[in-house]
Amino acid sequence: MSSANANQSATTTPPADTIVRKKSRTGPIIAIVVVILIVIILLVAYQAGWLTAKKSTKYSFTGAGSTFVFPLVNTWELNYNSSSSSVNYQGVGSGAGIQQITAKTVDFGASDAPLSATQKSAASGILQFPESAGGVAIIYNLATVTGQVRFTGAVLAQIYLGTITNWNDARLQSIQAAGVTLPSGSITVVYRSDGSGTSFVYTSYLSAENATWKATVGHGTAVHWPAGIGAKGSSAVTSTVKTTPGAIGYVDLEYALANGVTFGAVQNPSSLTDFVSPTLASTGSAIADFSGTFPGGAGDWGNISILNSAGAGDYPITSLTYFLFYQDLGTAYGSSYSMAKAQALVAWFNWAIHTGQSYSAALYYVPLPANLVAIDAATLASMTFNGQAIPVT
Amino acid sequence: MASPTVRRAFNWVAVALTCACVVVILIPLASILYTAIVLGGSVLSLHFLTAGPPAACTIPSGVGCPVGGIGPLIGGTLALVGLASALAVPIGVLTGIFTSEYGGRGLGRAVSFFTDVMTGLPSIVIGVFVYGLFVLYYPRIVFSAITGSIALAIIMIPIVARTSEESLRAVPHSVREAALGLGIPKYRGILRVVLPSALPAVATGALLAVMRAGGEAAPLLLTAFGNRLGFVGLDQPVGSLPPTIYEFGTSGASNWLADAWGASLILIILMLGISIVARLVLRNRFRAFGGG
Repeated sequence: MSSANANQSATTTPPADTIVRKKSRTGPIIAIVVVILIVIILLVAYQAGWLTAKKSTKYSFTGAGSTFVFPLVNTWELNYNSSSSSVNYQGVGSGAGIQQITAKTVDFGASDAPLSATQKSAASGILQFPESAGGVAIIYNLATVTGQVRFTGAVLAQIYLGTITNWNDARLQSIQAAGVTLPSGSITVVYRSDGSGTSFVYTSYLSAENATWKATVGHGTAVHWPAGIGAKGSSAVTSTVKTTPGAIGYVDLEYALANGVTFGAVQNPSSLTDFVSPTLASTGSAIADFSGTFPGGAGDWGNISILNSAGAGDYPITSLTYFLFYQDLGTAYGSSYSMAKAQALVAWFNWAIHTGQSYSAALYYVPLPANLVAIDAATLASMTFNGQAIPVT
Repeated sequence: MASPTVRRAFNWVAVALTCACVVVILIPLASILYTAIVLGGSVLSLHFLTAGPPAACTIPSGVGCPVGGIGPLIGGTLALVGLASALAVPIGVLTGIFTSEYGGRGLGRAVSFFTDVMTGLPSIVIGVFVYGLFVLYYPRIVFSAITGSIALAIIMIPIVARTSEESLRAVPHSVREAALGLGIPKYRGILRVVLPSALPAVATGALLAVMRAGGEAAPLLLTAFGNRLGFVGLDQPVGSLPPTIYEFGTSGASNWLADAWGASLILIILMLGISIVARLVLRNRFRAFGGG
């Protein structure tokens, strides 16, 4: 039927031909009109500045890495007013951030864990800038308990090893404050299933606290978890714990505070009775009380740990996050960089470690303490473009 | 055989099951549309359509958080899909012409088969492929409009090629014979006779491909990356709607979640719009061939 009809229309019967032709023409016309409309919309949008919300600046820099610092860097992007540069940061995860800066696809990376020796040698000439600090909060879901639940490193390790399985276990109950009685009920352990800086900090802490954990599981951005259920990303851990009675999990303090989840106090190493709740103050003082010396940006941060800071009232599960830049931008990126561009990048990060820190507290980040700002400023001053020093403005 | 009563009962059961299946299919569609309209509609405004994304705000209630928009991201999506179409439509249509008119049994079948295989490639794999292609030699443009549109074009090409091939094949053979019979060279016959009569269907295929590409997030995460400013240049990362929905939707910031819902609604409207246009064109095409 169709072939006969079309055949007829295309060749013999003139009236049918004209009718069909007329109709078959509407299709392409609609399509062309749509394409033209899209083009017009695009042009208008471009003219109206839609495509460039801010008039595009001379240099644009791309960064990638830690999801933990994403909200903060995003706030910087919006508040950094410079005619010469704009910054575009994407939170793709610490591991991915290290990979991208190593592949030189981005201008800077960000990671919650310091570079390992292997990672450092893969990206030769990389500098690490401690940027922000955060605590890992132990979140739980116990509707009937009104007081804040207390944890020690040993107990947390046993819970995550699967040896403490009930909330009313004597080892857990014995450390609680008077009046806090834990109900009987099994503990649902929740961990991060994806590679995560938070997991790195948390497993480092458990390794420091428990020999069995250190020997059987160890630490890393992703480890083989002996017990529990996995959830991808801080938000999934938070929602799993929120919706599962008897669950326990760990997230960045920022997440716990923003999402209104209950979190526990963790024992400070200086005193058996000093249980510290994670706050901006208690994580900040943990960094301030760090007893060792921080290396410079080119040094090895792999062994720097501010876990278990010994001062009274210091929250024990605290860590630094790092920004990653190449020391010599000319050697690293070749002709895509100029001295002026290098200067613009340095100027942006200089702004971030000084003025940028004032945005931290509102987003629940610990502002960078003065000693680390000084280290960052010195490292920034050591950056070069094809061997020439880059003036910091 | 069973008695009429049993058969009638059987009929009722079958009808009921069929209706139940329809409802089961419609529930997720209705639920998605309902949620997107309710949650996305509440943030919709002219400001939302023009302003850039807001700074993250972690106040759980969202009260007092800066309200942003997705204007640059709509532009970014249009720019990416536009560039991808400019690459994919000519290549796809020419492939379709080759497989239907010139390919024959050997090479033509093989090309046809492999375009089919390509249609089934997971889009994230295409993203990884384009990323891998560029990261070794051109690391500075790995995250750019160029790679993003290439990735989307690779998704679109097989769809355009297959639909063009099918719609060219649907043109009756006698039309080609008539053209040849008038002494026109084969290529002119294809360009002036066969292609015009198949054009509505080819255009539909292209629009369906645009729709598919417009909703892709996975390959863009590895290529176009993301950018608050949308499209700023061919060699710069591009922000578009789908990856932003993913990013904002999984964030802890309350105003980003609201933004993600609004962006979802806009994306649905954009893509449904294209789909409806495509279907209208398709209907015209069926009329042209006398209903089938």
